[in-house]
Amino acid sequence: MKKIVSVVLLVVFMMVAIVGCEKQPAADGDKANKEIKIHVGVVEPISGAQAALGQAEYDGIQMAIEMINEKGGVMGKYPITFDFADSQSDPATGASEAERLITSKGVPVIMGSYSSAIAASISEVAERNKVVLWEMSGAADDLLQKGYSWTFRNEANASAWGAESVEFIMGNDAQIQEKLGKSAKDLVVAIVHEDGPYGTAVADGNAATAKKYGLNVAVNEAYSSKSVDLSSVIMKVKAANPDVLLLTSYVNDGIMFNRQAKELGFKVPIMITHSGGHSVQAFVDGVGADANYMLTVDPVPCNPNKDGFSEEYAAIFDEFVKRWTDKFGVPPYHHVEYRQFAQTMLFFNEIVPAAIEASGEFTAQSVADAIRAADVPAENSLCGFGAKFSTPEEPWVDPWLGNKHTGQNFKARAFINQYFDGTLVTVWPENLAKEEAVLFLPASHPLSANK
Amino acid sequence: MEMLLQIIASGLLLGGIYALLSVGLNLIFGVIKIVNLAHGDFLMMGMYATFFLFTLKDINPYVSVLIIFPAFVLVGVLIFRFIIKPLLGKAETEVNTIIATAGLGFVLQNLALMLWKSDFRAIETNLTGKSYEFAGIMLSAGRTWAFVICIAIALILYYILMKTKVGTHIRAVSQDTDAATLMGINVNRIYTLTFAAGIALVGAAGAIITPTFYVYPTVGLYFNTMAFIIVVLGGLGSFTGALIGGLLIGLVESFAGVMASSELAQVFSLLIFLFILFVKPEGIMGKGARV
Repeated sequence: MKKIVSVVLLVVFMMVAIVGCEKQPAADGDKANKEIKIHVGVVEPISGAQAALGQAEYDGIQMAIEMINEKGGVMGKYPITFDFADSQSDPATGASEAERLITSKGVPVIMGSYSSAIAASISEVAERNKVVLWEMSGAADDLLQKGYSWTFRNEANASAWGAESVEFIMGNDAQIQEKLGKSAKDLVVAIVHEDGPYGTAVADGNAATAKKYGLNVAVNEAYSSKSVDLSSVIMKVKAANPDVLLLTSYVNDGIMFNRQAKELGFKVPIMITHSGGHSVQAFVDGVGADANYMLTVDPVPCNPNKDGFSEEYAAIFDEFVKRWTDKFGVPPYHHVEYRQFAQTMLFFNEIVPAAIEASGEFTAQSVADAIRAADVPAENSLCGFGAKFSTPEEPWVDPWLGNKHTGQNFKARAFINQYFDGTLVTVWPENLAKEEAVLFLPASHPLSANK
Repeated sequence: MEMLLQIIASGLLLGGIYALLSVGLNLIFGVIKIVNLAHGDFLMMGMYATFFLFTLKDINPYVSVLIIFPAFVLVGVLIFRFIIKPLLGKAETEVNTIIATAGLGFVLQNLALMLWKSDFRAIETNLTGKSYEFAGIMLSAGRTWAFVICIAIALILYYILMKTKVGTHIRAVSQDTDAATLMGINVNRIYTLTFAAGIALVGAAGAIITPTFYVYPTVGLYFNTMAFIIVVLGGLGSFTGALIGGLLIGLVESFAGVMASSELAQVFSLLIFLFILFVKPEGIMGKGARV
């Protein structure tokens, strides 16, 4: 008798187990809906050399998720949850943390990841595990030149930022003629950049575009962002006596450049920086009033005229500015927090709903398919441009350096923002500009060569 | 011409800082004959102390030397008493002290990491971004002061070593420990004093360079390498050698940075280092280890 009972119980258990394991049909109304769990991994450096920027980015991501969840989640019914990992500003740690999130937390999507070097190492992990890397900040061109299928970047690649600064100068020919008495194409340009993949890509964009217009690049100098002394770089640039300085650095070296440039009496009529270490609150805190009138090329319009957005997104923008200002005491007008907020919004508001509608599930494959199929209009993205991504089959060839990129949003562009009273304001292009750009550093600026 | 003078001036100012970093290391090596691998980490501690004294108590970094120097003397005495002294006079003293100081360095780095995270911290004093103009040459205010203080410390140290009784004792111990003991010199006391002075000097160096650099838990690693290169270049244990070595490396980096590229500057300074070791293996001023 005992034996029979055991056998019956065993059979019952097995049946329960089999039924439990059976997969529910995908698009089966409410039953399927209950299964959709939107859980992602977020990797940012919140300690180490890049902590100041990584923390601002992480805050931007959290605020976007918080705002979406308050309205019930994605499509108003799927709340977002995430696991966070600190990459400690180290590519190897970033990769191992991403691996951990994928294997032990089972996330189908990784979002992040601040630096290009960290993005590159996470991209390898994502490719191997067939998990989507929604890269929101690693800008170096070579990230998407390996033909990978699982890494996607919505922002413009770094060489596009470098090209934008030169295009901006060329677009101001009349003003330059009037002030310096020579045509824009006769300007003497100095390019100074940190020697990592990001700084090098921006400088490549600077140099290639300068060459296209026949500008005279007198100095093209790379330095290590870990360097403790930039005086030799500054002396070299000073000796070339340039009309334009195109500078790409991270925060600490950006502040040090400013400090030592003042100490060595370096002066220049036009100075354009490239995002990275300049378009961030930590830079303003480090240099104070010296930030004013600095132009910075950013992957997002940091403080745009919101007429360029749809009504829904204009409202989201207002809410973001309000919340951020309430929480941190300063508005979110730097590329780091703004870009992560804008792209997290884009991902959960435009991409993920499309994935769920098409496949009824939130998996790496459904998200990747949705990204490749996406064609988001510019007004539905706070980034200021639409979204359409290149694929391994149809890579996008950039017009500046002629490289092939897969998973790149080829509708992306770069913007010019400028500091006024310590706050960044979008000044270019015109449809998103809030103020008119001041091209020449005013005489009051310590680095200005203008009278 | 102006450019050339500017390169020399900037190089000397940088070299002055390098020399300042190496003095303490050299003193300890010259007298006690131990290699202090935690040297750079004491520099880091000095920098953090300065940072917090400035941000929390509003104490000027140069004034904070007056607090940091005695505090680090105390730290040096304790570390010598409990970590270094038990290893002296035993088998494998050199290897053991290297391992002990390297371990101490890791402890200090991780302590800093735990307490203050790995963020970069910098302070802004009224000298930040300022400079003195001299015949068209710009001298960074912060670095000029660091240079002046470095020279002052070097002169004071030189005076103590050459003209005072303690200095004579230190030199005697450095030259022949056994003979010094036979002459009635308390070697243990001299060792303690030298070690404490070496630590205090690097702590003070930390205070002096804080206005021009950043502080983070592993900042010592960069300067440690530099200090060792300079000490070996100048001649292990040679006090004037460290000064000359520091200035030489500063000049080479400055020239190479402008003439070639800043990325290659360190390559050039290391090439000079190798060259001098080939030509004069004991270092520029080296005559074996002595002060």
